[in-house]
Amino acid sequence: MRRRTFNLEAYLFVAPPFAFFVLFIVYPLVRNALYSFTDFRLTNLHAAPFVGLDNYVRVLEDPVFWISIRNVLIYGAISVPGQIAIGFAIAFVLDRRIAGVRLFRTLYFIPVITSWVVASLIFKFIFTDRGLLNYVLSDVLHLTGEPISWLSTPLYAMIVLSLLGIWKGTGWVMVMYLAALQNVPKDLYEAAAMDGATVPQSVRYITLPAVREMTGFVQIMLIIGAFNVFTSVYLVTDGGPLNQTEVMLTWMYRQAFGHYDLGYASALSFLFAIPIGLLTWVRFRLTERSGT
Amino acid sequence: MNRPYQRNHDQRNTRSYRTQAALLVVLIALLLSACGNGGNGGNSESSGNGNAAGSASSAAGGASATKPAKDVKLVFWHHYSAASPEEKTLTETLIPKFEQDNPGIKVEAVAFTWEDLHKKLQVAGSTNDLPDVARLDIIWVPELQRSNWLVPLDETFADFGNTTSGLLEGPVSTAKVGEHYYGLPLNTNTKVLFWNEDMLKQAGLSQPPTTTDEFFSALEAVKTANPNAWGYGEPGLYGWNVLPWIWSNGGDVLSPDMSTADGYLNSADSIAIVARLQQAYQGNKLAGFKPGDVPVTEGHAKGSYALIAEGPWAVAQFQGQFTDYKARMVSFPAGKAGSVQVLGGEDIGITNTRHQEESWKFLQFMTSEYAQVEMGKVGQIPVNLAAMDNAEIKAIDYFAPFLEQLKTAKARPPVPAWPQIDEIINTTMSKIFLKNSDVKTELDDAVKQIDALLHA
Repeated sequence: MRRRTFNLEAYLFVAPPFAFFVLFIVYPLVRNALYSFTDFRLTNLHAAPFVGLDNYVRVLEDPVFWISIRNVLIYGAISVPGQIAIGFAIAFVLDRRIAGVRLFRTLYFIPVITSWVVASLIFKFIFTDRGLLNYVLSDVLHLTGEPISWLSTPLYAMIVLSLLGIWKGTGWVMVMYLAALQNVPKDLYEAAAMDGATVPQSVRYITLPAVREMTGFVQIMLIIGAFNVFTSVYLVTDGGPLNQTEVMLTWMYRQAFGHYDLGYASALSFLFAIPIGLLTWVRFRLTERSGT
Repeated sequence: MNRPYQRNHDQRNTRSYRTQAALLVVLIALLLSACGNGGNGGNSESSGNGNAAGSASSAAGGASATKPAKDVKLVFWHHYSAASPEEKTLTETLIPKFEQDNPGIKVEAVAFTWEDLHKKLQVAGSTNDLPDVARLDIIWVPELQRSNWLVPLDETFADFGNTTSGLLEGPVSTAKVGEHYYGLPLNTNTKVLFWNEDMLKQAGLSQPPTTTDEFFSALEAVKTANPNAWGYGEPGLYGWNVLPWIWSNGGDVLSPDMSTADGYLNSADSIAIVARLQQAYQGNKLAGFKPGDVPVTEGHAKGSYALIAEGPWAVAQFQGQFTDYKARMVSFPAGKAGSVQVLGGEDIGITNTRHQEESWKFLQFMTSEYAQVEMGKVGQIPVNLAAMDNAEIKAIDYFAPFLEQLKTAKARPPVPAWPQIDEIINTTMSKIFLKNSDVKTELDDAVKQIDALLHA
């Protein structure tokens, strides 16, 4: 049995990061919580009258809030499975000693280290009405007469943004799976092959169960990442037209720094935290129950 | 015996580590707004500190403002364009000349975009970090005056009347709120119709449209001749963009006493012209304001939009970026109420600074013939009478159509709530065009929202 003792050295070691944590995370969080109950505006920093749950009511009655939730769900539903499937496939192919494997791994990882701003502007250039894609579709392949409005049709725009998310995040998923695949015993494959298993069967019954833990981790990180999508939306559609492509963070940003409505934006941030928190909790419960 | 324990232990560690990691990510997500806020605050503080330090030292060093021991530093916030030669003229020609003429006064010019300057002034105003002098879009003056951030110039400076007597009357009135004047005009502008000669010729038109009816038939002709082009390009749906259409057709946004929008923004004339534009948009004959559209000025020079309505700065852009294209201008198409464009322009105002006398000198300099001619040469239409008669300004041929259009140009209503009203107009028009909503229903709804703002 361990005895609890007061260990000064340990506390001293913990103190600096803890102070940092309190100053930069706990304190702003608490202030943010307080702001969410006040009518606090950037244009009048001296007065922040208490308004109770008014901000929360306004958020829930705001149609754009629900649009932003819907868009995040569309974004997540496309980009999360997309990144996992493609990232896993690439990792599976590159998890062997073949010529040029390092080069390919590096190439697939490049989008991850590319700036979101650069990637977003390039996607915007490709998908504008007179952009590269419409040029190829109508002038080269003659598939459409009228250019397709990718960025001003809300569903198309969300698909474009999801594609950008997939392009940008697949390399990270690949690296994660490459690490996990190192731990899959190779003799299992040999045994399976001897029993006449095909490659898809090996993947289904050996690889996927062996990397399940990693899949869980990647999934939760990508879902949280999807909820936090901001830069690409801000730069490609800016939430337009008519707030139809607004996501949670762009809407929060617009309320705070476009409309200066800090109280409302604070309430938004807490409401947005609920689904993220719930998802995280559910995911960890599932992991615990599965006992892996 | 040892191994299961260890595995369990490791797992728990991994789990709690991952819980923490996940928690951290959630927290960071929550903090996004708080961080951004801190950044902004820091910014304005730094310029404010400089300001405060400057005034403290001058107060301590000199007995009176007339002979400061140290240089007085004026902070001047502006939105002169850095992409065109405007900012260069300000910092390399005008400010050095002012400092040379006024020893003991230094000017620190800080450039913002139009949008950022508006935000920055509001935030700085509420934290007492305003600059000494600021360039103001004429539509911001009532809003800033209501917050008591601007000095009434006519009450504060005895030679106000002398100064304004040398300036154009219309622009001077843009800084008047109630009984007093809260700025001097810096420059004036409006928009005219630019027409792409090649595109119209291709559509069988030798002349640009001069009436609304001709305009809509020109859209038709351009579409028939070139299905990939648009007859008209409009970069936005704000008051700046749509009011000229409504005004020229006899409609308006607010009543003359500015107490209501009912019967004005939703009048039969307003509805008729908006519905006509909506129809043209549905026929794919006008574009430019939705995400993904070809940028309007560029698209005009490069053959996407046959007609656009733009200000004098577009000429500078054509000359700089599209040298093969020759800009052609004509008055905005006349409706039944004539050719009524929107009056634009900037004023320059003084905040509640300690350096009011020095700031006033800078205002007088910026509206002097010399400064106005220099700015005129880079596309800013002067408001100084002597500058208007200056040979160098008269030699700028592209000012002529703008000066003609200015005669009938109309100002957006000078109400403090204008920025919010402008947002309502933008949203309403977006619904009408992008969602093809019923014009009357949407305008009626906009009127309700605007009236609520006016009576708030």
